[in-house]
Amino acid sequence: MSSGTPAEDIEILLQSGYRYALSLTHNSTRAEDILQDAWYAVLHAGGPHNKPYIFQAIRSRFINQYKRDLLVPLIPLDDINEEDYSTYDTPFYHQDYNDAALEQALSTLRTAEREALFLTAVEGYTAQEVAELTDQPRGTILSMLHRSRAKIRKYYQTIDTDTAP
Amino acid sequence: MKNDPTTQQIKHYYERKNLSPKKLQELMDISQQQDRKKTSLASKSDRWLFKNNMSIAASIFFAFIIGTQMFFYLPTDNEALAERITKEILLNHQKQFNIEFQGNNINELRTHMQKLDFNLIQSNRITELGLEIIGTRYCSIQGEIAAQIKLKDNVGNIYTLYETALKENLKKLTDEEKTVNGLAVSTWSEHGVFFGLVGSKTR
Repeated sequence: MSSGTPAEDIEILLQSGYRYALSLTHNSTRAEDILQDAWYAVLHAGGPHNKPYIFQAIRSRFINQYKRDLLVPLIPLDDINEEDYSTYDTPFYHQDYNDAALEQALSTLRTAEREALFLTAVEGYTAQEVAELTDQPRGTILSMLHRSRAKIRKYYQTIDTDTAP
Repeated sequence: MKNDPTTQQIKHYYERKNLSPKKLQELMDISQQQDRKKTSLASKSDRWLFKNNMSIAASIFFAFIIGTQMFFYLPTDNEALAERITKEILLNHQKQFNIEFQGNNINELRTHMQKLDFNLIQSNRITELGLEIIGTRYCSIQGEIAAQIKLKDNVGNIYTLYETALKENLKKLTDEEKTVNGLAVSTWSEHGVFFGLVGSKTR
């Protein structure tokens, strides 16, 4: 965050914030709105211009706006359906999926799953860091990550099956 | 897990997502406006501090000047003592108390004034002025026993001479001559005796 000019750093921060908001909302317009709201708050509070701070601001606004209980349900580890893990046994590799397909696949995920995937895949967060940011148990995060990847694989398998000659 | 194709695909997917240029510019503008606002506030704050610091500095400066002036103009302990003595001998002179012992020279007066804690002496200044001794009486100057000697000049003007022991506090006083209410007042010391003379200014 300090490799470029202050303006460049802010642009990078805003783009990261937008992507995080997009992972939560899965909607570009809503992502922009939440980012703008969060950015106002960060500037007004004179808060630090870094990812953890703006991510927290985005997340709290997302939760406040759309009711956390409805959009970010916590699923205890005990509730995980063992069948979901069956697909993990077979290494998943799909070269042909494109953005549109992935977008569709991501839309099948719950918000919390998409968020956890984004934070680990894009931002490089560890499960522990995601757990701290989202205030959830690390085990829950790990299970969400497994489940969300499984859902995506399953989605592509369905596509492959449907499009098979 | 990071090399997992799904993870990689998700990473690439999000990395290609960007804010619209319009929205990005909007947010950057907000940031710049906020910075300008902060700068403006800081500038106002600096000006306020500058003004107040100037006021404080001016106050300290004037306080120093006034303090210095007061230091120089306020009477010191010695000046205050000299002032009190002048007032005291002036007042006593104006009361014109009767003399207790008559005599026309110091030696004669000395024989009458046995209670003094110092020896009466003939001041050179009195000799120079050509004043004639009439008599004396006991009095006090600033609580210390003293002799009040009545004198007159050749035209009959009455003078009062005070003599008292030159104590430590009186040693610090310098010789003075001043005119108060038309009367000449002089104070000085000779040979361990403090003198104060009040009389006609014309003399």
